[in-house]
Amino acid sequence: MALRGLRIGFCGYLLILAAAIPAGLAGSARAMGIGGQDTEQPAPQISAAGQGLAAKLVPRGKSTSIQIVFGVQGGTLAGLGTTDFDQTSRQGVDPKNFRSGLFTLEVVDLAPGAAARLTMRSDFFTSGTRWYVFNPAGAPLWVNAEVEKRAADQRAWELALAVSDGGPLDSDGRRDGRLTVIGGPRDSFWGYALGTLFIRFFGIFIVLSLLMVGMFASGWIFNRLQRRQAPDPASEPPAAAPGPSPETAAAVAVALHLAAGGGRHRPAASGDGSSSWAAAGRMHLMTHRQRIFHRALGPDGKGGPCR
Amino acid sequence: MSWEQVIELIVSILTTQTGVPNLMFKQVVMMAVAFFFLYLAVAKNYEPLLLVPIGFGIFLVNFPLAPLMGYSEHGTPELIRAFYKYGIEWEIIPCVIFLGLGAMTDFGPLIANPKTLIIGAGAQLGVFVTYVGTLLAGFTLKEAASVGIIGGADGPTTIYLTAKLAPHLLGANALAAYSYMAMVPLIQPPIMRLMTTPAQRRIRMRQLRPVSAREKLLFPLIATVLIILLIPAVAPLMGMFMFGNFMRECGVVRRLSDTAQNALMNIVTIFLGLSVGATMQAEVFLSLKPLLIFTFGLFDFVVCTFGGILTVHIMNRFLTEKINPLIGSAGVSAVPMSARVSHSEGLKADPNNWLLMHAMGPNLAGVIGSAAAAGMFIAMFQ
Repeated sequence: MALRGLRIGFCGYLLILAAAIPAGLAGSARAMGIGGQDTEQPAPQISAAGQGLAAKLVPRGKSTSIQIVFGVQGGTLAGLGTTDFDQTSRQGVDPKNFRSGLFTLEVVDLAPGAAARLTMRSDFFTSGTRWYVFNPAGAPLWVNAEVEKRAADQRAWELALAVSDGGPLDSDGRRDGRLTVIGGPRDSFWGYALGTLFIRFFGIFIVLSLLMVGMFASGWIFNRLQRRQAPDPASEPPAAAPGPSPETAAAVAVALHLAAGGGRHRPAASGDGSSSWAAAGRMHLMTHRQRIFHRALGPDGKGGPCR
Repeated sequence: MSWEQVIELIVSILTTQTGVPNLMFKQVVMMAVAFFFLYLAVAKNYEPLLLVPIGFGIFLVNFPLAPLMGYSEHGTPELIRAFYKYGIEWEIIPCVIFLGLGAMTDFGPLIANPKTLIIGAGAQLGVFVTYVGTLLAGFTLKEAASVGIIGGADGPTTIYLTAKLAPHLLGANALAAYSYMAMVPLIQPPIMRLMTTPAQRRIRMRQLRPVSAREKLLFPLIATVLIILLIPAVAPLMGMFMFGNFMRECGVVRRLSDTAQNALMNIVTIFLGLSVGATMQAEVFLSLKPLLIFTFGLFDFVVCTFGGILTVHIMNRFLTEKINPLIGSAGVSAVPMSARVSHSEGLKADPNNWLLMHAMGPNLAGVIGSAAAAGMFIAMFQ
């Protein structure tokens, strides 16, 4: 295949295939229930917190624990437990959106048919958090309950939910002075996953851009310092004019030698009293110097690489 | 003792104290997997420093009844479990490897051309794209992050993040990361050719300016301040990396720097490889998830390479002095393999175009970028 004037070989096809496969695999993996095991199911620890109860848990997609404090006005919070999603209907809901799981609240000491106000406070909640209630006897089974939201202290949000005895949010469905409410905070899983991902990807650009700016700045400072420390060019002796190339110098030397000697070979002086060590040294030096004359010629006769 | 009792004793010994009757088919399969990786390492020379200990770890841990990855009756970890527990679970080994990498790294090319840091950031594209893909496949958020980081092409970062977020995927993730790093010369060139024109591949870049020793000495300090202030979660990795580099550049602790680069690095590599290999027990590894991880890992590498080159194309729209887009692929870390690939592809287009030192810039930026991505993921789950 030709693309932009280039041919893609076998490897190219292989890579395009590799890029296409994950999409198919993602679908088939979902179909096969790869992600079916709920390995991150929260396991809250319940404890008393003032007049109410607190659930401490590690929500889905987090490594650290959070706390949700439950309270009630108009009754007594008698119990707080958890409900497994397997015990509910998943019709219309995705457990992934319930990162803290589902809770069961038991409220007593109510007048039959009266209403109570449940409060849930946590710094894990956001302004977008909603509270869904599951009622096995209700229609529909899941209700996006109307909650009052207010920003509480220390970046926490408080959700308040009005539930009447025997009403649509009361799971036991009876006007018996007792409320059973099954529900949990719901946040958009994909909204969170994609939103935070987008921010974090650009976060890397910001971090590395700042580092780049820091490095440009330090590079500029170092260049300035080096220029300042460098000696003034005016005070330096003028640079020597560029000399001839070694080949030219050698040719000139040969020409001068031939001109001076009239083409006659003058035998090297011997018996001048120099030691054998000095003679060997001179020989070594001259051999080294004259390497330039022993270059092999290239195929075009214009010289080749130095040996 | 009657003959019946003797036979009963022998049968009991055979069934409870020898491995032969307890050997299962899936363990044999895992041993074949181990041999495959040992073959790649020994015969094909693919990342042998890691694939040899990993392969042997897989081999060892799949013997039945072998006391290697369990706990004794008194709760003390058995041999490789102890390496794993104190080296990886406690997140020590990846950080020590980063110390050694820092001591080995010359940041000169990056300091001389800081623009290449942006390429290192762009090459993290695959990490985030794969993260979405794995979420769609039903992985949890933490699993998706640990699989996504494979594309960063940084073994210790992958191991560090996976040990922190999804330790049950450690074997598959580490193996995928190191296998694909070894295959960078096969994976990247087709993408590089696909995304560049011959004219772009021939772009010559100006020779890098010389970098003074003082600049190199200050770099780890500046980088540590900026990166850890912005992403504190990456402090263990980046802190060790920059400490190793500072030891190298300060020049007064040559013995320490030398130990970090050689002896210490070699020691921890042995323990790392064995521990990672030992996580691949048949009952854990033989499922669809590792297959998916390997597929997503390849996809991740492809998109990261694409991201790096795309970033250069975008940068070139604004730069008067153009960058050769071939060095974009080096943003995936995998030091120095991907820089070499950029260089060799550049030479194919123009035999006199020497890109190696230019490619080292994004290559080093990729190390910082993938560690930053890991830090971002860790922070996301805090």
